[in-house]
Amino acid sequence: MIRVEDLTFHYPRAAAPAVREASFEIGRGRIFGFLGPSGAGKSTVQNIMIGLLPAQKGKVLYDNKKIVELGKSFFNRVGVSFEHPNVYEKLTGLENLKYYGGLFSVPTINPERLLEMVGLADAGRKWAGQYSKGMKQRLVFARAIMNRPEILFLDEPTSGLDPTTARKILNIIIAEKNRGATIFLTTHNMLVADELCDTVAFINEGQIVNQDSPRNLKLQYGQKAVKVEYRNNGKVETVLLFPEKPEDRDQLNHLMEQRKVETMHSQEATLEQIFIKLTGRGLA
Amino acid sequence: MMKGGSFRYLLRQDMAVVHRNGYVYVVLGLAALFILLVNFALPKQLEVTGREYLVDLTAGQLIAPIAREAGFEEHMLASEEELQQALERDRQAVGVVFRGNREHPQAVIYRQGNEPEKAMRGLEAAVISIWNTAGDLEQPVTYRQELLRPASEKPPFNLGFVPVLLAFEVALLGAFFVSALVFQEKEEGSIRAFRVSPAGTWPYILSKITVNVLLSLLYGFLLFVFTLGLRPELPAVLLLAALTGFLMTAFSLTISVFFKSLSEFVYVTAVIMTVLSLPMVSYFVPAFSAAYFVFIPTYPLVFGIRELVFSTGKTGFYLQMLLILAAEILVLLALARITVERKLMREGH
Repeated sequence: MIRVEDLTFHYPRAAAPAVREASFEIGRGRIFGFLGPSGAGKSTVQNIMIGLLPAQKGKVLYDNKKIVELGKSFFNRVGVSFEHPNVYEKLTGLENLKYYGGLFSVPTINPERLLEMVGLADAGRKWAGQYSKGMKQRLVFARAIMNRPEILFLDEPTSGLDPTTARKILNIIIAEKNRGATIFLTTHNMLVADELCDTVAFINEGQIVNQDSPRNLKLQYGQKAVKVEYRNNGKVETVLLFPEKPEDRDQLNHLMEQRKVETMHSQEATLEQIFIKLTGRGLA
Repeated sequence: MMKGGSFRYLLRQDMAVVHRNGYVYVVLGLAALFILLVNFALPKQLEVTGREYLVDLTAGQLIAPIAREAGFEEHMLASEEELQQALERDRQAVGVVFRGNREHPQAVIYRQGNEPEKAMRGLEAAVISIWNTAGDLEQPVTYRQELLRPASEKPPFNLGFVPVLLAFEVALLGAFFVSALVFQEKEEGSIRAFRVSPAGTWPYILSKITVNVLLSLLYGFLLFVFTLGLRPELPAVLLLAALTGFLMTAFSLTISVFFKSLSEFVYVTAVIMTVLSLPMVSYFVPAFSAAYFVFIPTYPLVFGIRELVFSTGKTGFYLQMLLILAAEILVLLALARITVERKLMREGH
């Protein structure tokens, strides 16, 4: 169990705090999505959680222990994938993983196997400096999971990846969760968050504005609507109907009875729409 | 994959990066250049192109008028003390002190030590000639040569450069390489990944130190063996080089973590190099010296090697240099640990 309580952080010379009284909990084996636009305070929270920044106020507890009490060996249980790929450019992908793996005192996954998992098997012997941004991103992701971490911090893990490769990475994340890993996912990609996360927290200007499961958020902030495509005098027309309104319910029944309906989809709010509703701004 | 000992992996990683950055080739190239310089470009002995200072201490000042007539007016000095001072200032000059009288004509030739013997024989002939000009001598002129620093036969001119050339890589360039590695890790962001690994600060520091010490040993071995040969002093010289490389890496780590990039650090490097060069200047110009020079990291290396190879008979000097280095290493290692931990292993620096 990870518990974050009243976390506040103010960078020197900054006009406002980067993070203000952020609190949340992440249960073991859950994926917690931290959603917000650039500069909202996501990375600052993550940096405090992994001990790179000191908490000026509030605390982060791992099974009721502060990170300083856990010591360096704590990182044997942790994996971190950074948003900006940070690898030794003059080492090959394989060497990057091999040498990093040597820093752990727990068993690690074979580097060649890792490269294969993220689709870099053929590029393993090339210098990482010659990799594209997406390839570096995958290398950093592979490095994060090499020690089979109990806690995985993923910062924009699919950023810059093509859909096929992104799918591969998402599947690995799901597999990590199924293995039992607790995952802190920082992203501004609401589709990824929607698919993966058990809980999401929206952060804006350093404050968590809401947090719940994606389903509950949609139920709370979305409208129950049905989008219907039907044929009328040979032409296809579209109408958005709200079944809770009697007149819309009657119209829907009428269209179905007339066998005019061609397609019908339930309409629910996206996480992005909810975020806009809550903060008045988009995620880009 | 199961392993242990993060130091081993960090060392292999640092060695691979150093190799791919081309530092090994720079060290090999520099060693080759200096070996060629010492063996083929620098002369073994300097020609006497400097002045000859004369002091006339003969009874009745027999020599002074002859010297003035021969154009030595400006080079005539009043006392032996003045002569010693003049020779200390002008390291290419020699001096002659005339003593005695016509019954017992004498002369003492003071030399720096690196003058060619042919030139010295010419000077002896000139001394005899001057005495002969002074009048009928009852006895032949007796003369002797004296070295300015009696305990030290000056080394061949070219080999005298070896301690300084050795210090150049070990103390200056090696330290710069280590800083460059740190800035490379900052720029690539790879240091951020290290921060969230289980490896601690000590393996990080010790790995960098070991890499630089190995480079220092490689360079020191090549330069020493191919200039001075395989001499028994080699292990002691390499020990000095290794300790200096160790010290300078700790020093470099201590300082470089305060800067964001190599371009910012370059100005500091210029100041550091100037300070580190002071003992080297002192090596060639002994008059340029201060008591605190002994604590500048290049001092023990330059003067320790000189004492080992071209002994001046200073008992315990080498051991003293080792102790100074060891004390400095302890202090700087502690400082490096503190600054690396606080500035490099945390975010926002």
